[in-house]
Amino acid sequence: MVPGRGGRGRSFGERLGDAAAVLGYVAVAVPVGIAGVALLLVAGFAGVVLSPLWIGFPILNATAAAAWRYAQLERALANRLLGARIPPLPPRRRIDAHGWRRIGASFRETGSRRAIALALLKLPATVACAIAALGTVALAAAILALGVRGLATPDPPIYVGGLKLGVPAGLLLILLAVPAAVVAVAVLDGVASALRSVTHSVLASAPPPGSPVREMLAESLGDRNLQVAYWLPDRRIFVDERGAPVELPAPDSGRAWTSVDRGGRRVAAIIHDADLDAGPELVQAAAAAAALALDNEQLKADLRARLEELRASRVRIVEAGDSARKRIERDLHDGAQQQLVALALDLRMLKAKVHGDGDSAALVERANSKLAAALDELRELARGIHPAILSDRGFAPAVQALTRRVSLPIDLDVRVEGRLPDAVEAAAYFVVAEAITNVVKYSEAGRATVRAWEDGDRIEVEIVDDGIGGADATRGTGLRGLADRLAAVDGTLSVESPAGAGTRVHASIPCGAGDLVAEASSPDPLKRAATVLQSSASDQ
Amino acid sequence: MAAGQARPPVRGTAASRRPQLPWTSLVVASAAALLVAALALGTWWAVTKERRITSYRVSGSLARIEVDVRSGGAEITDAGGSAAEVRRTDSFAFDRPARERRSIRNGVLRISSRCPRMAVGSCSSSYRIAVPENVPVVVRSSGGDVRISAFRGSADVQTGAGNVVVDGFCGFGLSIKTGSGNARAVATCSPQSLNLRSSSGSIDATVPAGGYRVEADSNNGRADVTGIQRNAGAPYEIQALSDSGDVTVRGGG
Repeated sequence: MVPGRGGRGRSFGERLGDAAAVLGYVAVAVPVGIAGVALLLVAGFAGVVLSPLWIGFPILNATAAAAWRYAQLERALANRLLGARIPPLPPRRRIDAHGWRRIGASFRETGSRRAIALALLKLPATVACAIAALGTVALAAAILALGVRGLATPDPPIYVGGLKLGVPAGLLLILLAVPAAVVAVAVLDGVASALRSVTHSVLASAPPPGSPVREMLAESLGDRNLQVAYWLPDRRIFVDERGAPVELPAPDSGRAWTSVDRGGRRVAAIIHDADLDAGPELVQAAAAAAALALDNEQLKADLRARLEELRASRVRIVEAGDSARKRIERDLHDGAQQQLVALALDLRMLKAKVHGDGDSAALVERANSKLAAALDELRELARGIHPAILSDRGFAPAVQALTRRVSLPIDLDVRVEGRLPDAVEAAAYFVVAEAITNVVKYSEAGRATVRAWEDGDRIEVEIVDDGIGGADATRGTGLRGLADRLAAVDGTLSVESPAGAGTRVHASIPCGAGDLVAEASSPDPLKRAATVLQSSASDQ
Repeated sequence: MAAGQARPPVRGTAASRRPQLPWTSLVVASAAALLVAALALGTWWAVTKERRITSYRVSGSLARIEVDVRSGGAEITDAGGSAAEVRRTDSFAFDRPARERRSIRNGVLRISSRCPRMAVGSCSSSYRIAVPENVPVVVRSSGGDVRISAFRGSADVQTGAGNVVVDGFCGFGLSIKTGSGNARAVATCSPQSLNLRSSSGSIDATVPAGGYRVEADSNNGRADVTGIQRNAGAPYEIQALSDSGDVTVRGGG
């Protein structure tokens, strides 16, 4: 099975281009092959002859290296000019032997072995192909040249068989040059596929057993860009091996797809070149052979797709919670808080009216102070739900405001410029808020430090105190909830809290998570899943 | 287990089959056209292939014979009488034989033969000439071999790729010049002057034993002189020079 440029469905122009590429290949490959063989022979011979002297071994080593390079060069040539699609050679290994054993090992290496096989097998084949190719091209060119000469009616006359070369014979020859050119192009085509198959058989390595089913299909069908799309029956879409949805190719896109069924159930689709050399029967045979493996892969792809769906839904839940908190805060601020402020004004007016009546005045005063306390409590509550300053001015000002309200002395070092995505700001803010609440409530600390900085496209937040330590992220809802919230935006939380040595809370949040949330809340579920996958893939 | 083609069915393959057909048939038709042309030419050649032998005698005394055959070989023999006999063999096809020109002026018989310029075709014209004793011969040839046997007279031969073989020569002077052809000369009596040159062919001369003024050399080949004495005062001279061929001069043949 030899991969190549799709053999059949090409236009004449493409064929001409390919034929020119083949001529170019022959023109380059013959000298390169001769030079390679000469180099290998001469250097190898010199190395063997000189091996009693110390200089022989470096020469042999260099020869092995050169052989590998030569095989690489041949591969590049065949891929560039013949479209051979030969996978890369296995890299050279380090060899920890010396003397003859080292030489033996380096020549046993795949690349060097292949270079030797190339030299022995491919050079004669290339030369033979070059003769065939150049012969037919020369024939076509000679007929054409003769025809053109005939148009000028040469004197003394030239005879072609019994014909005297003149305008009619010239025209006939020019006419005959067309089929000769067609045959030349066809021969070049044949030469190309022959050379491809020789080079491929020498240079291409069979995929190791147990490699992904896609690689095996790509190798056996000769289409490096072959794609396998797995069918998810319950969602009625195709996904790739990572779970991202796949669009099947349109009829005239140059790609085609073949369905893989197992037991009457659709399992996957193989997306391949529309004009594969292999032909539809071979694709179907390969598909049938791979059906079992593809069935297993499909289960995995299904699982991954569900996992991605789950991630996306978790992000959406956190986002929904955040927006609910914002709404409640706004409702409290605009509703209950305004009502209470109005009530306080009323009370002040009442106090002025009952100025003479001591009892009544004391009563009003008491009500007023209770009202003030209630207002404070309400403000604190609203702030705890979702501080307005965070939505209005961002992370750094919100953290400053937060630390100012705490009785504990706090060193603040926030190096986060500008605004971050909402979800990231909220996550980072609540890490600081929860950690400081814990410090104040439990740590008995004398001071605390809050640091926040940007590291690449991540935000790092760290809260350190000098308290009693012993905090446990797995117990208590505070840290536990924080960890969940961070996980939803792909962030991580770590808590170091050895007893008696203070507590260090560290959170790391990718800023790209903002896009994640934005996409997760977009209405199109397919696009959503796709972009979630993309962003998670780019995070890795 | 079955691999079926999904809806839309067999799309890729149907699409790739369609443009495939004209190309394949174009190639087949082109090859057929070329084949037909070649067959036609071959048949024409076979039908018109011809071999024609023409003989004539030239009597009267001749001072010299000059033969210029660009498209065939020449064989010179001794006539045994006083008249020269020419036998020409023409091989040709497509009804286009070589054209011969001959003239006798001042006792010099000039024969030249030229094939028409042919891009495709076959044409050759070779001569066998029996020359009367003591009439010098000049032969020019390009690819054909020149053979001189039992000839008694002087000869001057120039060829390109053709070989020159001289047997039983007994004359005054023999001069041979070849391009890539080999030259071999056997003289039965010592010639006054034996002049053999070649650019890439080998030279092999055999002369009766004796003393000669010898100049035998090759730039890139071997030069052997055996069986004769080098004698600067001798009346007989041998010059055998080749650029890249081997040179052998031996005596007592």
